[in-house]
Amino acid sequence: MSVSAIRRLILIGLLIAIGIALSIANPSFLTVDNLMTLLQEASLTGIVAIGFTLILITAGIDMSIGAVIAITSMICINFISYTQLPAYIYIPIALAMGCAIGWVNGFFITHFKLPEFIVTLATRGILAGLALIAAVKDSQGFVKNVFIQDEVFLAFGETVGPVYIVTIVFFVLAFCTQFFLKRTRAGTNVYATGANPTAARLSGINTDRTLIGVYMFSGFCAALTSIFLSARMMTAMPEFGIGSEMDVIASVIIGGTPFTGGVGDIWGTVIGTLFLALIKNGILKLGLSPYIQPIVIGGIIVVVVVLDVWYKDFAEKRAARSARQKQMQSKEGV
Amino acid sequence: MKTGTLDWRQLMVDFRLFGILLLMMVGLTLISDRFLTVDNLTNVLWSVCLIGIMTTGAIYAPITGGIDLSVASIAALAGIVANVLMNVYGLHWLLSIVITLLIGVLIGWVNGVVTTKFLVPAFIVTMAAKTYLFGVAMLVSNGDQITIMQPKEFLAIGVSKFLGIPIPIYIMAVLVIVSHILLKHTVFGRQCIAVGANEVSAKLSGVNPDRTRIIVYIISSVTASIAGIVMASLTQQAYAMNATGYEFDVITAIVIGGTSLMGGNGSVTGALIGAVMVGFINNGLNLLDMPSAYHPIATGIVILAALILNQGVSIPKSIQYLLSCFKPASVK
Repeated sequence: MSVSAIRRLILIGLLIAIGIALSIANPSFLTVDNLMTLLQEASLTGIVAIGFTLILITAGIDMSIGAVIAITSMICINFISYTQLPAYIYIPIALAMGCAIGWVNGFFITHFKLPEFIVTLATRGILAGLALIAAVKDSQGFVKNVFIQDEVFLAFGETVGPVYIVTIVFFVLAFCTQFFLKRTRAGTNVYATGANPTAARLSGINTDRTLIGVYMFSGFCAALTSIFLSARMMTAMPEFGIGSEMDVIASVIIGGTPFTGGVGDIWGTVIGTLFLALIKNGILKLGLSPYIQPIVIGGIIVVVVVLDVWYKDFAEKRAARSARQKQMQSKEGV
Repeated sequence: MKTGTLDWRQLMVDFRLFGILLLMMVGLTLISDRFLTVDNLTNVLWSVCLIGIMTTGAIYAPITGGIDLSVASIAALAGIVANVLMNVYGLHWLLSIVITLLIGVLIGWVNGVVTTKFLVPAFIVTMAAKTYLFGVAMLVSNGDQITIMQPKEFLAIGVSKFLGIPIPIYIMAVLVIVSHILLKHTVFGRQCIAVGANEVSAKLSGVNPDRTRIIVYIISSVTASIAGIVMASLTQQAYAMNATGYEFDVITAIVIGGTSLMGGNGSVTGALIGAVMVGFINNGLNLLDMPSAYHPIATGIVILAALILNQGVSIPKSIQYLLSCFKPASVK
């Protein structure tokens, strides 16, 4: 079995173990309500994490996703409170805005050859500020808490049976993206660009276009999340999503996509998202201090990365040893 | 190369920055009559001091090709830890400062080790550090804004004056001079530049890149701790959100100063001018009664513009390229 398959099995085992431990510690954990809320939380992070996985596969990073969530929810709320346009007009506008922001990120990264994280950090600052400016204000200039009453928009926060729509969308999007990555030419280009950009360019792949496309997809995913988030909260605040980058990064890292690029897939990310959501839910259910949450998320990233490198080293050494032994045996046989 | 002849190109870059700074001052004076007052300039000076102290150490990470995003959290944590040591455990103020700096060393060491030994990008490690250190700071301070009343000697660091000049200015000046000498005139500084420019060739010529990087992150978090202590004694309070957003100001200052984030070059004096400029930008936005939301926007635009200019890209050519992107495909 390959390293990544073993890793995934361990993760699923841990997932089940933590689940059992939590349901013993707190009986309110194992209720349909709580599990569905957990899945909903996981899906909100997960949709962004899908776009982020593609970016990590190209060895890039996108720090602006949280700010994209903020600005697109502000766009929606402005349309809702100042115009009478129906939801099926302004939701595509918001999604297109997410793509446009991704295009700008990609343009700065590919054309000016700037480091990804600083470009997206700068756009994050710009967008977070713009979201505050664009927020709907009351007469005294304070941010107003607008209650969304558009039924079409609120339908995004509804459930089908016990399952929230966002969860269904998350799994469908995960399946489609996985298919795109593994079965289409453009998906292969994404892997090639991440593994070795020079080699990819020399073999005729338009790496700039691939990168811009990936950043646009990430912006699109963030915009999609913002719509589900506003529909669930029935309102939108300019602080939506700010700081959620760490959750997303943690989910993708737990899922086994490394920072080095060229490796990774969506199912790992799905498992990672569920894992993180479970841990956050557990902190809540065990009644721990909310300040522990950032410590846990920051700590998980460091620990997972360290364990990964350590295990990779170990696996490589073991493989080398077994290869050497095989060589010795074949020599003895001769 | 260095001895005898002046490095004209570097001098011109520094001088250009100085010119922009003067233009900004003239512009701000014309825009607002409150700018050129003693009170206002003192305010600017405080923020420049804090950013400047952080910048002197944080500049080494970009020179070696990394980045340190955790400086703000380290500064906030340092203030809180110093306060706890002094006022809860009743330690002597000097001892508590030393212990706080040692904690800074530890944080920097962890950052450095995870970055180098486990091959994780520096910004992820330091971003994670920023997150968990913020959590630790919140946990230790219980999320409160603690006012520091005792001891008088500690509070004197920020407020008292020597020869009519506030103590933080001396601290910043000393750190800038030390940092400049360390970067330009010592073996360690040369090693940093070599590692940032080309790690493989640096390794082949006998530099230990891992050790250099770990020391770099230790320096960065120690100066951040110093800034945190100065901030705590200046504002007389310890609060986990005290320094939120300072890491962007620090990066802006470094980038304005002409340090490319790819590694291999850097200038401490440039970063100092950058810090002054960041102080003026923030102050200008305040004087124009702009809401605080404009602050990250201005910072973001300045970072992007400075990076593009550092990259040596000609602006007309970029605009031409941008326009060609929107042309219909049939034109090709």
